[in-house]
Order: sequence, then structure tokens, then C-alpha cells
Amino acid sequence: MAKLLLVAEASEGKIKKSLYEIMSKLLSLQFVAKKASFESDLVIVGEVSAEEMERIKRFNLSTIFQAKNLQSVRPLAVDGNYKYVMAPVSTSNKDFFPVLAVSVNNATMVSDVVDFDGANVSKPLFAGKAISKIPLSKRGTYFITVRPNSFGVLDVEQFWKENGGATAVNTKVEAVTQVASSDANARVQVKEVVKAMKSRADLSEANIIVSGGRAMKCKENFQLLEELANVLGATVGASRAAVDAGYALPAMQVGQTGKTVSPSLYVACGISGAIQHLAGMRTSKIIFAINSDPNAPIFSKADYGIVGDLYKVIPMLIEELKA
Amino acid sequence: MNIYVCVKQVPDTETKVVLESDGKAINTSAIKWVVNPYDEYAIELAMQIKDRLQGAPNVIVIRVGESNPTVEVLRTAMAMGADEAIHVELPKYTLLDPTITAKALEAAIKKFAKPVDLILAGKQSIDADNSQVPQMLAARMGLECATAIGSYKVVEGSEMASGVMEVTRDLDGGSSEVLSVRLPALLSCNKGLNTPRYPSLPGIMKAKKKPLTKYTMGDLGLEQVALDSDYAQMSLVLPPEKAPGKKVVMESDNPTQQKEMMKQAVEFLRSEAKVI
Repeated sequence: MAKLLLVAEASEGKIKKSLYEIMSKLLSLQFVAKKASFESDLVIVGEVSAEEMERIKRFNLSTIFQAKNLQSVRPLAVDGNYKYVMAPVSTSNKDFFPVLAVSVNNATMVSDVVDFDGANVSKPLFAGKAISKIPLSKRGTYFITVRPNSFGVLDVEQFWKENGGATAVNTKVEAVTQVASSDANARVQVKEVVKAMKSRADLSEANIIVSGGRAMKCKENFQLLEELANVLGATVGASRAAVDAGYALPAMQVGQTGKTVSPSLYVACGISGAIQHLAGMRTSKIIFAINSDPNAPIFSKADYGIVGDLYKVIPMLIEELKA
Repeated sequence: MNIYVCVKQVPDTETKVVLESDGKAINTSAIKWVVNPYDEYAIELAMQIKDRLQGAPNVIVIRVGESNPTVEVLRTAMAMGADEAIHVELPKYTLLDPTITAKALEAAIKKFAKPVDLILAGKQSIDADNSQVPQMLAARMGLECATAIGSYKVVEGSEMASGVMEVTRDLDGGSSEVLSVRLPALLSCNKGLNTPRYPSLPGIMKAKKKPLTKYTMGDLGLEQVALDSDYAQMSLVLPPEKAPGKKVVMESDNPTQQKEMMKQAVEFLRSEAKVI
């Protein structure tokens, strides 16, 4: 039977929601669709709490490996005879996976996958203006990174109730041989990590995004979006126009030359909706637009649009949300 | 001292994607082709290093891509100041398997045989959005790699064969890190790194006479590998169009209407869409 390895980075005793999304997808492929005959292993990088471990085990994994750092995953991923090695898209996986793929003969890598049916993966192109379906037909290993918010998270207890119990969990837990995380002779050395002022979900993983466009007029006005984001528990994004005008940092840009996002809720404030911006956020579940121009293209994609002055609308919206 | 800059020719961001009837490729007849925006930052970085070292580094731009339609992104890069170019030709616009692109770049650089001090690239292309090729090329060439750099600082005595450069890059969630990179290395470039220059008129004239070396995938022994790749079997669909939703207009001098509107909007988000 083909084997799949899922790479999970832990932080503060937990693994990310995006990993539960992938585990849910794998579980339903194995049991419901019966399309995929593979067994899944998980390697946890870092520590998870006992509680989290129990929760993870409910997803029918064969073996859970524990690793102290990403480097220690390498021997497992390269020599472990895996057909698929999978992880959510993250800064570290973006660097790690291509290097793994080079280390394995006949490996193929597909990044930013939004669907996997056991035999094919789907991946957006042109920031989502088209979707490609790529067959996984080779004998070699496939390295696959999955875009967060692509799959729902299963209520796993409910799932087992509907799918014939299987409550006895036979997951083995093993430690992998640890490899030193940093080499004093490495040519690239981390000198310093500058922590974000506020800890917010990354745009690509955020559940809610509040984004500002050219109509924000200046950097200071983004404070208004910060306030709305605080009330919603959202991450603040920006359009290319706002970034190019210097109102927002490049890291905040949503669109074809920025980040492609798919939150549950995308609040577009003063964003007209250029084609390259729409491409980057069109898969948001709900698009909520505020714009003073009733003919702005963003309204054609919005589930809910408010035509009005954002400087008036947003404070009122904040007030209503707090009420 | 040689700086290689990897560039790609991509459809402009304003492109409306239309598929060919076989669903295997996009229709390229109405596309405006541009230098991949992230690669422009890489070209500019090479130029800034070249300027600082009084023109000493030899800057080689390299591209794997179609020769038809021919758009002169390599000439554009040379007009910006690159000294020479390598074109690995593909018969048509293809979203190639990134492992093969990395192999082609490696093979072409080795065939070209000028030693590598630094390789620069955009962090990803805006058509395929893979962000694989720079990391793979570095790994294949045995080079260290710093990806998606957003700023760059000259450390004394740097930019030479064994120099040290200091770069910063964004991490998840708004944090960033500072890396010191000892050359030779590969850096992939992010937005915010610099403002790419426009080619000057004399630059454009000079670019026409600069050397351009061409290889085919066959020359590099990769023709069959590319055809056999799963990527060559990809099929494309357009995403479903979303039906427009509700649109309400705020009346400027009607506080009651405004208040009611906000109530309904929040009600929609909470109860109907259930997203907050």
C-alpha cells in the first residue's frame, strides 16, 4: 500500500488548523470516497500537548513521528519510501520541500494545491484565473504543499459515528533520529528574528481579512482597518495600488503579485477590484465590499456590498459589531 | 565575477485568461508578455551590485521559455544593463515542471561554463506561482539559498567571491528575519527590495549588440524528460463565476437608514453567511 507522510510544524503545543484540514481530507479519501488506498504517517516537528496528541490520533494515522526540527524530517522524507509527502504551505515548507524534491530521484513537486483526490491534484494558475489538474501517474515521490483553507475540518467524532466506529486507535508514536538544526559552518546564518508587533494569522492562513485599497489615501488611515480587524479578529491586507502608493507594506499585498488568499470572510475597503486583485482573493468564501463607487468591479464579485464612504461606513460597522 | 539572473516571460497581470478548446493550455493570441515582476527586482539588484563595483561583475540573464511569441525580455534585461544572455528555448509557452526548469537552468549554466559567484531570481513566477525553481536550482548547484528577500545590505568587503551579504526576509504572520549569506549563493527576490529601473535609450541600442546564446532542451538532454512529466498532462479549467450578491447604497443624510443598514450587514455576516 502506498504511504503518505504529512509534515506538521507545532507551535505552542498545537498544530495548525491547515493540518487538520489535510488530515480531514485524507480521512475522507480513505474511508468515504474509498478512492485512495494509502496509509498516512505524520511527523510532528516540535512539541504538542498530550491533549493535542490525542486529538491528532483520532485521524487514523499509522505512525506519528516526533522530530525536534525540520532537518530531522529529511531522512524520513527522503528514504522512508513515501509516495506522497505533504504539508501546508508555509514559509519554511516553501524552502524545505523543493530541496527535498531535489534529493529524491524522480521526484515531482506540486505547490499550493487546493484539491487532492488520491490520483490527481488541482492547483491554481495565474493567481486563480485558471485551475490546473495534474495527474500523479509516476512511480516516484510526490512532494505536495497544500494551500490553507482549501478543505474543511471534519468533526472527527461525528465522522467515526457515521463510518462504523473504528474508535480503537492503533497509532504508533516514534521519535526520529535528531539532526542538528544549525551548522556553524553553514553559509546562510540567521542573525536575528524580528517578531511582529502584533501576533496575527498570516494572510494566507487568515480566516478573516480586512483589506484596504487606493481609497485609504494614506498610511495613517490604515489604522481604521486595524480597528475593524481587531473587532473581527482579522488580518489586515492591501491592494497593489495601496502598496505601490506606500500606504501599506509589500507583505500585506493581496493579488497576483502578492498573496493569494482564501479566507472565510474578505472585507474589501476602498478597493475597486482590478483583475489581478480579484484573482488573488476570489476563492474567499464571503466577499464583503465597501466602496463609494457603485460601479466598482469589486461589487460584481461581492456577496454583500455597501456603496458608501468607507470613512463613515467602517466606524459605524465597528460600532454595530461591538453592540 | 559572474552574476546569473534567472528571468521568465509571463502574461501581464491584467490578462484575462482564455483557454484553448482542448483545455490543455491557455490561448496566447491576445496576451501582453512582460518580465515576471519578481524577476525585475532580481535584475535591478544585479545592476545595483554592478554599479557599486564600477561595472566589474559580468551579469548574465538566463531564461527557459518559448521563442514564439518572441518578446524580448532578455533584451529588456540587457537594456537595463545585463551584459549577456542565455535562452533555453521551448517550442511554445509551457508551464513546465519546475524540477525540469531547475535542471535546464543548471545544465545551461554548466554548459555556458562561466563560474558562478551569485545567482539571483524572482521568488516565484506570477503565472505558475510555484516558488520552487530558485530553491531547487540552489540545491542542484550545491549553493546556499535565501528566499524572498525584501531588503539587502552591503557588508564591508562583500559581493566578491567569498563576500558576505546581509538580507532580510518576511516570515509568516508579519515577523521577519535577518540572514547573513556567504557567497557563492542564490538569492530570490521579493517585492519591496528595490525599484527596478527603466531601460535607457542608449541601453536599448547597446542591448541589440550584446551576445545571446541559445540552447534547446535537446542540447541539454531534457527534451524527453519534459514530455514525460506529469505537468505535460495537465488539464485546465476556469474557476466558476460567482453570482453577484446583495448591494445596498448608504443614504448620506439618513441616520436611521444608515443604522439599519449596518444592522442588516452584521446580521448577514453572523446569521446568513455565518463567517463571524
